Amino acid sequence: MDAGYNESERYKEFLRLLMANQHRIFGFIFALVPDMEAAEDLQQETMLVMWEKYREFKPGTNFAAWGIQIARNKVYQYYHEKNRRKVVSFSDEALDNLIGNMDVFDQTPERIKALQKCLSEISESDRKLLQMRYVNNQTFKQIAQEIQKPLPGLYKHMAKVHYLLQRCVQRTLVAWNVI
Amino acid sequence: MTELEKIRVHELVIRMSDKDISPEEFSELDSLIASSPEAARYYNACMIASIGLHQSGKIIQSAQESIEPILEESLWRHLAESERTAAAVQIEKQQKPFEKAPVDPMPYNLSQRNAAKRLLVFALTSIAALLCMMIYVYTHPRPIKEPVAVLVDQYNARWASNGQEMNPGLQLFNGQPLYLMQGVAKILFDYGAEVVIQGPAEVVLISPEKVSLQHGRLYANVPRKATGFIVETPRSTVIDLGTEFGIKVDVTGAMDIHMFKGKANLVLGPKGRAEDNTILTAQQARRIDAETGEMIPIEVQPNSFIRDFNSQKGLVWRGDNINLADIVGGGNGFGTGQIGYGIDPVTGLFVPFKVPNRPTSAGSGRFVPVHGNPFIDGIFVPDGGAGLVQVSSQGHCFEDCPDTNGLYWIPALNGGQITDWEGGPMVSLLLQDKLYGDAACPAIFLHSNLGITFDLEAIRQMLPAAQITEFRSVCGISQTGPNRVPYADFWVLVDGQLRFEQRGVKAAQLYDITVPIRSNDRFLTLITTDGGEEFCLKDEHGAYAIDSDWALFGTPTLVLEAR
Repeated sequence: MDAGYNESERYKEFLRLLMANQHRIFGFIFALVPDMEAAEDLQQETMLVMWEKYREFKPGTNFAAWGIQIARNKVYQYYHEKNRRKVVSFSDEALDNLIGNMDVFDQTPERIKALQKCLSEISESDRKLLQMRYVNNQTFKQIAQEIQKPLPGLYKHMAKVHYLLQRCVQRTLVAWNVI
Repeated sequence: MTELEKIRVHELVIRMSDKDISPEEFSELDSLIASSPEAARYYNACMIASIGLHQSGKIIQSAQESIEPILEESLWRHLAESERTAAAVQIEKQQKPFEKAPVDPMPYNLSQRNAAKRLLVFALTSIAALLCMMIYVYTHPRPIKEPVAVLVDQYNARWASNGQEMNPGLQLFNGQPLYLMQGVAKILFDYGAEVVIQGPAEVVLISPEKVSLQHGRLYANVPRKATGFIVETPRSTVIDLGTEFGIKVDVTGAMDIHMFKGKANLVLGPKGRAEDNTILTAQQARRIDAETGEMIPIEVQPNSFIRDFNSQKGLVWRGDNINLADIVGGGNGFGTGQIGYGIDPVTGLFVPFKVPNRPTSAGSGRFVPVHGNPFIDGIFVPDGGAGLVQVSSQGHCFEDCPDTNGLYWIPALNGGQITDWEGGPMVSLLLQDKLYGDAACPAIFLHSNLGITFDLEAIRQMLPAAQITEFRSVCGISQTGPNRVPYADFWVLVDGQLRFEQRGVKAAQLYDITVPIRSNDRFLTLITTDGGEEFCLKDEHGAYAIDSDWALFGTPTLVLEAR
């Protein structure tokens, strides 16, 4: 067995673990940096470091936890570099709780599928607002200006819309025996 | 967690993602999560929803399938405004094969990252190259390829499709570019908008409710349920508000838009750099200059876009109405029939005009099916005195048909020139000094006593995208006929029911006919009868009730509209 073969096997194993845990790792990053573009950059960087340090990973231990640790450092680095730490940075207690509940990210595909179904249960005007926010990437601040509604009221309204969606997702996952 | 706390988590998350959260508010969120694993779990679940909404924006749109759209204009204005300000979408001109990903440049600056630098060197080996590919795929997944439309039909189509078979029924996917080199193709988007593309044209399917027209001609028929359908062009975005419109984009990017029905919001300027927007309504047209972006009004050209076609019958429809005289001449209603030809009422066969050997002939006394043209159900010589007059193959009868002498002179004809006797001068048909019976102004020459029935359903099947809304025509007796005593009755029936009658028509009189056609009406029947013997040529041998009844239906038209 030559070195190239070993490297190839190692790489395949890395990919297998990465695929199995990618939702948890990305979910963790996004939970701390709820900015899609920044979160994707951080995920890239995290994965590169994970590959670089993969020799240090002990087979049989928790790959996701190992990846999250690397991601956590990347997130700290991000806030530090961007001088944003004062603005958004969870306490250790909060982080512990978030990490302790990372398993919910394993349900990402099912939850997104359920979300798709649930979107048909909200009003079209609310769906349009979601479209403006998530498809057109406008902030709610911009949307409030556009539709000439007070921003605080729009936040509260959209919070309720998100809440109703979330409730529907939970209900759907129960019906699908996912949870 | 209470329900109120959950709603509060959502509000704080929304504020955080908007980068509009105060330190106090963030602290509140942090405390909630720190103090409650349930809150932490709920927060994580919120994040998944947020990821889903971000990454799969189209699911927001796809959910619209299940409900009736709201036509509130202000809402669409908001949408229009969002189109104005949205970032430009880069359309992949050519989908690169997936295997080439490792040699594509990474989508971020590798040189800024030491680890990445080392990996870049390592990437020269095949393993790292594959890793590179996988990382690229994980972190910048291509948009999920999802079907957004179906190729419904095509006619004389030649595609530049990279080897892909382009056959009717083919599923088309988001991001898929289509190059139609020639011919015409019909695409049905998943939300219900139907688009006809006329080659040469280049389009990119963006989503079930959005298409990008790079150049060529595109006609869109957007039903109510698909309101909001968007057509992007290099110089504009057209947001449908319940419409039927055509767009032409030339290779310079200049664009013409013609509104045929309803209205649409025209947002000027390239995407992301919009300059203005305007609502266009039916029968308005605008041209947008490629260089200046200036918009000028132009005349609507109703027949400049192919709106539907029937590949099996080799038929294209540009919004024209059906010319029934053409059908009488053996055609399909769009000019393929022969002028001067018609249908013999006894045999049901297509024949050219010819002066008959006898001045009159007796009808068969029955409804004669016409097999030579699917759009004609049959023909007959009406005579109410001989019993019920059958007017369709389905047994519809003309109950009020008057008593006639049961005779006819010549076949029903698609206009042309006619003479009264063998070797006589051929004359055109004339109503109030207007020429009828040629291609420009067609006419059905229906000398009494004759009746002809058209099969509306067969016509509908020819053009599924069109609906017949009414029959329009004029009727009268040609002033070029023999100057004796013309006198005839005109009748129009739908499924055997009388919809128009004009009795006792004399030379030089002209009447307008408008008969609405409903979607479930099956047969349209045109009839002329001799008007009885009271006003007709008479001599010592008797009365000649049909003499000189050069009756005609001028410009007999079935008005078509897109469904």
